[in-house]
Amino acid sequence: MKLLTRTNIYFIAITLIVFSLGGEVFYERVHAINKFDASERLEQEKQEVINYIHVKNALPQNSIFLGDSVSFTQVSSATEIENNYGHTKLYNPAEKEWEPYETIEFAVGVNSEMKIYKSIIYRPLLEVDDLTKGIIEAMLIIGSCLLIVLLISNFIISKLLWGSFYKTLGKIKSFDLTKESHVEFDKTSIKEFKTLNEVLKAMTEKIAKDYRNLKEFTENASHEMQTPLSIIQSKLELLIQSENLTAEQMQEVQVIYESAARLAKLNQALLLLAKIENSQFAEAKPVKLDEIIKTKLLFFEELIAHKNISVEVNLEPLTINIHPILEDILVSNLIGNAIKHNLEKGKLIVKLKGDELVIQNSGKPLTIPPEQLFQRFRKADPASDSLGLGLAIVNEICIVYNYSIDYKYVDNLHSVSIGF
Amino acid sequence: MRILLIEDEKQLSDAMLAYLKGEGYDCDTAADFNSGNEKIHINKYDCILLDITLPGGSGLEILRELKKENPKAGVIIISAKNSLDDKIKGLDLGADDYLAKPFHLSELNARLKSLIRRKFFNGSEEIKYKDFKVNIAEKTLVVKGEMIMLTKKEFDLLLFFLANPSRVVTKESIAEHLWGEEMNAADSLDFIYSHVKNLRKKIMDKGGADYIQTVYGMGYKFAEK
Repeated sequence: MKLLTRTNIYFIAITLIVFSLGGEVFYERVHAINKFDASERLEQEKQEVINYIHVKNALPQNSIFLGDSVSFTQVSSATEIENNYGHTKLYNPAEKEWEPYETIEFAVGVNSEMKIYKSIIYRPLLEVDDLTKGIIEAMLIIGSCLLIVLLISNFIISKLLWGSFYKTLGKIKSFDLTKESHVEFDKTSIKEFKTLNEVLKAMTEKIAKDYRNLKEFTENASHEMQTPLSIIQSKLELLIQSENLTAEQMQEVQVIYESAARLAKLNQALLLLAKIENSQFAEAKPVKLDEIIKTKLLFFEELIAHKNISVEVNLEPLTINIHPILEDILVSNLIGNAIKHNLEKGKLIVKLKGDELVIQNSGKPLTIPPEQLFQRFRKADPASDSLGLGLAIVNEICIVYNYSIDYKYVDNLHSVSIGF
Repeated sequence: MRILLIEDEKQLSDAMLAYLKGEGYDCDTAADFNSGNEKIHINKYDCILLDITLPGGSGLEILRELKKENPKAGVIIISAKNSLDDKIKGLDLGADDYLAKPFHLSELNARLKSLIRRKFFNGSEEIKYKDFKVNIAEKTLVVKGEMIMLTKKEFDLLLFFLANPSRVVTKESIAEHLWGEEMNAADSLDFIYSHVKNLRKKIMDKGGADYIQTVYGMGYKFAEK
């Protein structure tokens, strides 16, 4: 959910709560004031009635007094009436409903008649329904006005305030560790965002530095391993020349020699990967891909013949810009792989059409998920002597040159395609 | 043939020296920049095996000096720095070949022999081994007066054996010699086996002697039985 949406939801919720509570309080207050006002008026009217009777020495003729209705009932004793406020509901035949009235009850004496009356003044109160309706209406109008203002200002403020935050976010999103070493953020006057930018800047620099160091470490480590490996290999080569070794000893030496050779190959492949990653093969030259493929197929000719693989080649001329060494490795690894993992009397199809190279070979189905095929040390057959780096190197070359690489298994054929 | 081996790693230098001495070369060694530089000025070497990273300076500097002093000398750069820059710079400065560590001694030997052939025999030397005559330029093998047709790889294989006679040549070094670094010995093992078998058969069919001996699982030895 977007930040703006989230704040808007909060604003709407807060407005709803505040206005319903506010409406409640408002209602109570208006109601109380209405009642209080009615009592005051009733008190005044009571005095007026008393004054009137005192002066005129008779009951008012009109049952409407000062706009409110008054009733008189003769009573025997004034003691049973005290000054009494009350409320009651009277039926309004015109509106066909009961309406609330605030009442005051008091005793008046008419001297000329020597009679005591109970007088009740009725003052209509605001109807609760009307009051509620009015308040809800008012609250709705005020509330929605406020909400609209809030939402608009929230939108504007968030554009103003969060602008630099979104810029920072965009920069971090597009940050590519393999290509950049640091990110430059825009200046901002907001302290929190300034801190955020500083922290992010320091962090990306640290990550980039660590990443570089790690890559350099791989390369340096591989370099350093070459000398001891050379010594092991050459000493073993000297050792096997010795006439004095027994068959058992020779077998032991053989195992050591094979392992050392494997280690040397592994090291070379890792070094190559590190170098490709460290962009040490930066210079690109135009290379005729179709010719290179022909040469490579010729190079592997005997291996192909040995496995009785039938080869189908369909090459259109294509020139690509690539470092000659990487180009050689790319083609070698792909074709070598297609031969290595091929079946006896299998098929090898090499197609170069437009800017796409497709190499297909028969072979056992993959035992690993296809998406892991280009990862380092992923081998379809864990027991095989293959290093599991050939396709990882191909993949790395494709990343460096922005080539697309794809694997499919169709019609019992492993198919690797590269788009240049 | 007088050869100077400039390599700072003593153990490696010793192993190379032992192998090359066995081939009958007159071999000197130098373990750092200064002694290497000094030696090329004092003696006239036919070939120099040169490491690039040396204590005291770069092997490329020695190469530059050597080309002034003795331009005819052949140079093979041997470098742990499998870096392209070194290779290109070295070859630009007049080095004849480049070998990355770790390498097989048999490969070094084969490269050295090929260099010597190119430098001092114009590449047209005929290699003779017992009743074998190999013409490098024409890529032909003649046994007892009979021409034997070999494929390119079979010829390369034979040449590799002939460069390392009476030596155990490992199948790893053969695989690398024939197919470069991409091919693992494991992948091409039975292929090497069948290749050797074919070569052997072709030679024996024409009445040639079988000089190729199998050495356990290790490799082969080209020698008289």
